[in-house]
Amino acid sequence: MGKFYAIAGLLVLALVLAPVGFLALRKKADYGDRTVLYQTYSAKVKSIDPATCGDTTSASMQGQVYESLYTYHYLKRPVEIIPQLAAEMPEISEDSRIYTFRLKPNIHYAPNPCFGIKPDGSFRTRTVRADDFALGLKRVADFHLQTPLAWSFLSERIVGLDEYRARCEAYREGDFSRYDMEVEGLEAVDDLTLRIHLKAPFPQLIYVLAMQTYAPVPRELIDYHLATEPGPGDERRPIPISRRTAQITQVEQIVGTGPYQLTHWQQGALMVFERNPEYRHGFYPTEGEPGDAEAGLLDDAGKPLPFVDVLHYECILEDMPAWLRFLSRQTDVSGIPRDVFDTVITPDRDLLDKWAKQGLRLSKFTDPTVFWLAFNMDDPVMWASKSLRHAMCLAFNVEDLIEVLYNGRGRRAVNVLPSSFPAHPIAGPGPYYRYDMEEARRQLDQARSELAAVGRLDANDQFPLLTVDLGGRDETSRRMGEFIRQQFEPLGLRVRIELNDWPTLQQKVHNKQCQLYAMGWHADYPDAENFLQLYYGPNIEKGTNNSNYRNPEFDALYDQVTVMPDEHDRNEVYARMVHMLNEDCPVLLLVEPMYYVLTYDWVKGYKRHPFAYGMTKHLRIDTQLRREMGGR
Amino acid sequence: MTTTAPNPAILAAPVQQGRSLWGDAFRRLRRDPAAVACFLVIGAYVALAVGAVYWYPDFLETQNYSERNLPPSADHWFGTDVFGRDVLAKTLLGARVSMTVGFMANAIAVPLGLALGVLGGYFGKWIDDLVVWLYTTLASIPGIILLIALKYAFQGIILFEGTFIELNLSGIHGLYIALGVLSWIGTCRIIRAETLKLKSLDYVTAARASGQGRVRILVRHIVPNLLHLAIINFTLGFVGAISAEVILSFLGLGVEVGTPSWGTMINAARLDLVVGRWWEAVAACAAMFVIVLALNIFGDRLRDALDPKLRI
Amino acid sequence: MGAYVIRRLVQAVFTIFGVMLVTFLLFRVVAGDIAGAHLGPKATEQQKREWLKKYGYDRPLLINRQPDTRWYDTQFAHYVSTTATFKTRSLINNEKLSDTILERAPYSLAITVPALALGWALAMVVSTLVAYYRASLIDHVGVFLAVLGMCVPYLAFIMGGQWLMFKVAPSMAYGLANPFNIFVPVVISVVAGLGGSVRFYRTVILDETTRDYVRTAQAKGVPLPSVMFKHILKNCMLPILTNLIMAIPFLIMGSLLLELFFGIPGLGDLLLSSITNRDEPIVSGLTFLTALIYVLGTLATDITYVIFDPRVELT
Repeated sequence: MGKFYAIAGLLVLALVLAPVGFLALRKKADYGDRTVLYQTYSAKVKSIDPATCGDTTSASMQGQVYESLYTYHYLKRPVEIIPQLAAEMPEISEDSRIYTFRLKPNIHYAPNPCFGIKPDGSFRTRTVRADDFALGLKRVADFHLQTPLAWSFLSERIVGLDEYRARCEAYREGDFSRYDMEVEGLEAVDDLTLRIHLKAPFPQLIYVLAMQTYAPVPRELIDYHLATEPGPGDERRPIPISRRTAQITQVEQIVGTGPYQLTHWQQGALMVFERNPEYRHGFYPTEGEPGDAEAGLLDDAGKPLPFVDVLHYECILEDMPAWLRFLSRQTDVSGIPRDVFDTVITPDRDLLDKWAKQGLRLSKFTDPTVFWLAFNMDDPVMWASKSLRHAMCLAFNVEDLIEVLYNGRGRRAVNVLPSSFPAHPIAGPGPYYRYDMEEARRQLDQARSELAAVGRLDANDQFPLLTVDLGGRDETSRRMGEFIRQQFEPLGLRVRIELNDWPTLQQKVHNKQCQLYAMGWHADYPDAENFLQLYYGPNIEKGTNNSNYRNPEFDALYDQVTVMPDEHDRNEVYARMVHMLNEDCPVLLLVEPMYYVLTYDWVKGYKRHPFAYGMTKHLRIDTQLRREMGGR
Repeated sequence: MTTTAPNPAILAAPVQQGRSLWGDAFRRLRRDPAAVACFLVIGAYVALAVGAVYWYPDFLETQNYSERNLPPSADHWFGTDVFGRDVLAKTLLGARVSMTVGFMANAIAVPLGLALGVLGGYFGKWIDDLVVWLYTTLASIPGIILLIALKYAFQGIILFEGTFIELNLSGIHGLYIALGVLSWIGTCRIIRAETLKLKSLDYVTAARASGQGRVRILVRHIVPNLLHLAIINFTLGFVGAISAEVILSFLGLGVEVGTPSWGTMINAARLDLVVGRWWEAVAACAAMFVIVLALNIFGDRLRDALDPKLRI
Repeated sequence: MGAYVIRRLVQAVFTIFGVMLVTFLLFRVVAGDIAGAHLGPKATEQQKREWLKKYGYDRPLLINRQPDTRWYDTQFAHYVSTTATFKTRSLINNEKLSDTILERAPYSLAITVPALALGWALAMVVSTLVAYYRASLIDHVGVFLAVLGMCVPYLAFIMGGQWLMFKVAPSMAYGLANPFNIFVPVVISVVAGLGGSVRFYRTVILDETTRDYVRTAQAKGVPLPSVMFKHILKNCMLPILTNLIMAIPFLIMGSLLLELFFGIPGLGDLLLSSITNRDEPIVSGLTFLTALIYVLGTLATDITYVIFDPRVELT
């Protein structure tokens, strides 16, 4: 029996210590003398293929490796488009339908085996050509790739591209000969000249082409990485067509022109980017907006980018552990979780002294994002009574919302456009987007008679139960729900909150099953059309207008304004459209959030950009200072 | 022949009371201080579940934004929550959810388990095979996954809308049904085993021999002898239901917004703990701990009391 | 004996089929608007239809009654064939499930295996001690603590443990930066389960202690410790180890909550996130795998029991 105990004891010991051995054997990151930026990210990256990118986390990561024709100036505000892979701003024809882009010569891709392998084992590369952009755009149009976001900006814009998409359906996914088909509207005039033919004027095209989702794709990538696979020895063997996928899913398959290359990706855990040796076309800006020089943002003017050699991103889904990492100087940049906010920021919204002494700096940014509660205008109650909508807008105390649920980080949205857009001040605040209980009650009385007229009051002549759908099941959503209920209670409106996870909410919204639902929109580009399209009648079919707002006058103005080339004229029309929305109240506007970002003193050159991704290349780390202050 | 008149003395003598299993058990429990104490605690929670709503009728509307997140003090014994509401009130109101879930879930699960177990055990053959197949299949899938999946499936579904028995499946009603439909397995197994044993007992065979119908035997002889097992399982299943509610609320799949429950309190406190706001989590955990303890001890004592082998 | 084995095998096959059916139906219903979930809010109706067609979700569920198609060309048949041949692929990144499992299973096992081993060892020590000093203060205190431990909500253990770690050694409170971090969830798991194990083992040991041979041995003058270690524990091992072995099939899934709280990239975490992300093939595949392991495990236990324990009757 003694033997049994001995064996059992040893076995237990072995089993208990085994995981330590296993975990210790994992590859440890050792970067030697190179400069490393450490950061955490809080959602999983879903896509490393530029065409299929659809969420902000993937876009942030892709921004490090892919570039498009244009980008935004890092420092200037209001934002300004500057050429990136293009040599200059495009040449636009008289009728605004033909854009000619001249590319910068000598832009090289990051070295990759698809271009060939040199005798010493390193990878070759080549320069970017115009037909690479054409291929990138064709992939966005490809029927077999899931590109809802990227395609939504191009659909029905470029001559021949929609027909191309339809023709792709006849091909099998693995049959890449479809990329050889010509598209009338995408013309590679020569190696360095790309011409795009539009069906109608599209003034926002330049902004669209500043998204890295339209990065150039070399044909070699398709032929090497997607059509062949590693075989026995060092050979590559072809993959049978039925087994091929058209999407880029492996780290080795990424071929970009950006400042970094993705060298390590452990899904849901870690992403490591290292400097791209072929990146030579990026330089720190030499001018900015007033205040930048004082803030030290022009100290590195003119120097070649990037400064940091390695970007080390760790995926931490929970707020708290990410915050603690930051506090213990394991990471360099962080946001501030809601629950610790009061311990970091004073009531005046400044950094508490003790944190400033520890070497932290606070930066505040307003993003062009707006959150609201949308009314489903097809719902019989919501549609029938404009006064009810007015009453609800007037009764909702958004200032309290910002205070209680946002730690005061934000401002009340007073019309559907973000306050940084030029058309916002021209249009002015909506008359019902303020807190006024008396007026709310008056509107409610009117609403009662409006609803009674269409028979929408319930059995006891009371207002019917209203349902609000939220898109999240976490504590934040729950609190929001409780707050919303509380806001309508003084009016005597009964509200039921439904928590849904995000896919279910989208499904319900799409099937028009919601009465009210929470929604937000982050601007894709600095043009009001991006927000106003959410209220355009024909977009109900397409799925982007989910409040089902229909207003023929609004639609007429929209049709007019989307083809106006001059921005100043557009803003006037935008303001008129916003006036209509202010009066009709198809949404209950809530917050324009502000972002508070903390950086340590050793991080130089940080300025959050409202639209662009891939700006990390401007950051510089003072490694000596970091070591001195107790960092990594 | 003389007739003898009945002797009044004999008639007046007290007849010895028959001792039923239930009477015995009740007597034993009554004399056991631990069991009595636990029963009182359970009673208190039931009273809370029913009565707290009247005590704090407008709880949810007591949001007070200037008193948010205060630690325990003389005014608020357990502090306030993120909206300035009293945490003690929230805890007491939360008992309603837990007790209701515990009761309703088991009210579905135990009869279901009893019915299936008896049918399978008694009628045997293909019915038994079916029942065994059913519970083995369900038992092989991790319970929490089934619960999560069912709750996801129930999202947004409302049955019998507008009527008295309206069931909002995405909220607490869905919770009862999901828990009920998945927790019958334990009861079923035990009942089935016991039925198999009872089936072969002499008195059952005798009843069959005397020509009594199978259903009659079932109802008159077998089921009454299984009821004690059902009751024990009900009590112990209560605990499982309460814990499940807490975990599901924690994952965001529990009660609807606006209903105070211990699970949502613990969920809310997840991040608070790290910043030192312990009162909400501790209140909910303590409340849960006490009722679970009481139910466990009471269930144990009940099992001992109902065990015919432990006759004093 | 052979007949018994065959009978159990047949039952196991039916159960496995049953599990396939249940998981398939349940998760298809759960998936809801699966195209919308994967394509995002900006997808049009037509894009969704194309997507559904690409992944085969437009076929009938169980039986195909449409003209010009085989009756078995259904989603269920597709599910069965891909699962059985280990060809399941994720909808999100097209990674093979088998690869994902190989990558993540070690992390789940890294928590559950040490927890099982350590938990068993600790529970054995405590329950033997308590049973030995039966009816004394040690026994009462031990049982009392065990019952208390059983009644504390599991979440309380996890949250309390994490809070403690934040105070004491914050870098160990989350993630696996340091290999020794794994012991935090392991210890929490052991402590949370200790109460229940101790009570169970104590009951088994006490049952054994009341047997005749123990009294005989003591009457013959054999000291109690000797009886305890030489005979009692040996006879207790069978039910205790059986109980342990029944838990083995669930080891591979890890503990959902522990993985969630401590950021361990194991299979439990994968399952939870797959459900949220509507990655239907992964969810069905993983659940089926767990169920399969469980069924096979029970089958193996039953058959081993029959071989080794002569007292068991064959039903």
